[in-house]
Amino acid sequence: MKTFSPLILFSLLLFLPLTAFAEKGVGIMWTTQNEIVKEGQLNCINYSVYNPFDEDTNIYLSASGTLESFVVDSQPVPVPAGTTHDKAIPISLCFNIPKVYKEDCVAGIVCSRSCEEPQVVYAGEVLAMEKTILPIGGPPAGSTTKAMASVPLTLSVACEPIAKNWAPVIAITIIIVILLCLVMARKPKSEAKTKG
Amino acid sequence: MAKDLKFSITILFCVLAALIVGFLTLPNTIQLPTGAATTQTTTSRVAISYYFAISLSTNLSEGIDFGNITSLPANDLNATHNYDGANGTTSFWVHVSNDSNVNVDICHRAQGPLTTVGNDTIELGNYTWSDSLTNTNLLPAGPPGSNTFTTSFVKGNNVNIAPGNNGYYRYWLDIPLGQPAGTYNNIIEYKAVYAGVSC
Repeated sequence: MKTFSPLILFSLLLFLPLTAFAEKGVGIMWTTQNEIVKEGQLNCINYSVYNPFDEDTNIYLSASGTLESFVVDSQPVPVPAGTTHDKAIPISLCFNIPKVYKEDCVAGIVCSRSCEEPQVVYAGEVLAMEKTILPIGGPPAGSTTKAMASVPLTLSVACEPIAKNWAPVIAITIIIVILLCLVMARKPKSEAKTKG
Repeated sequence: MAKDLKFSITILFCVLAALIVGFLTLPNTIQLPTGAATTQTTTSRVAISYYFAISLSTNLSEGIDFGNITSLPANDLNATHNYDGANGTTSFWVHVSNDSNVNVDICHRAQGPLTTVGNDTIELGNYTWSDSLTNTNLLPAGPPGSNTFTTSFVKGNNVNIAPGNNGYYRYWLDIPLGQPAGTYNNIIEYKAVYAGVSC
């Protein structure tokens, strides 16, 4: 029995670090915290995710704060174990920014925008999380735990001033005048023919 | 003759009108030379990137379990891994990877109270936690924990964790007399932010 003890101890020591440090987690890499975006269109911000730990994982992005209502669902990307930051996997998070600045329109055709109102800014966090699958039969007793990595993000919506452009109105008016001129110019001839 | 003159004037008027329209709608793209001095520009560029990664210890990633309780009330119940590390240390920790270039703060919250499928609940006021940057049989300190869970993220002592280091945790639960039997669960979240950023 005594001869087995050192062997068992050695086996335990060999096995312990593997069990104690078999970790999985989530990593995020970012190059921006403030972006200027355009209204009325989809704006995507690029991130990278990585996983320098021991187990494969699936990571997806989401957003919180005032950004949350504009976020477009991000699909999880598989991130193999041992993926370091220099091999991080690109992933983007897209925001569907609505039209936020008012335009002053004359007759619904000639519109202008002065951009004198305060700039609209949406702020919050981008969260990188592991896509977890609940075990069959529901969660275990006690608390299920979840790790996430968060980075701040502010989106400032650009306002592009628009000057009143009368050209379309003038063009339409002149086309109408030309048409009237042509009609008037031809009218006497046709009247003369009918009289003749 | 008068009719022809009238027709010609009309056509002339129309041509002039068309020219005016063309002038108004053409983009102003022609740039005339000015003779002024020219300047040359170049751009400077620098891109700063940050990155960090966190993981939960094996025992923490498997969840926080308080075991099977057969006698109530129960106060300051220890989570099963509160003291099961070497020399009575905790085996609940959050690890900041060496492959990070910023220090990290950990924000902590519960998504909601512990509930059963039948909607019996153990309120979060009964659920406490402590955290520490060192791991001994006394730290993280308790029982009970120095923080009660809320549904908002809060920071404890696990702030400014440098790459390669851990933030340690312990958990305690009170279960009042008369609590209905059942399996209770909830979700506990660990959100890493770079050091100094609010939760």
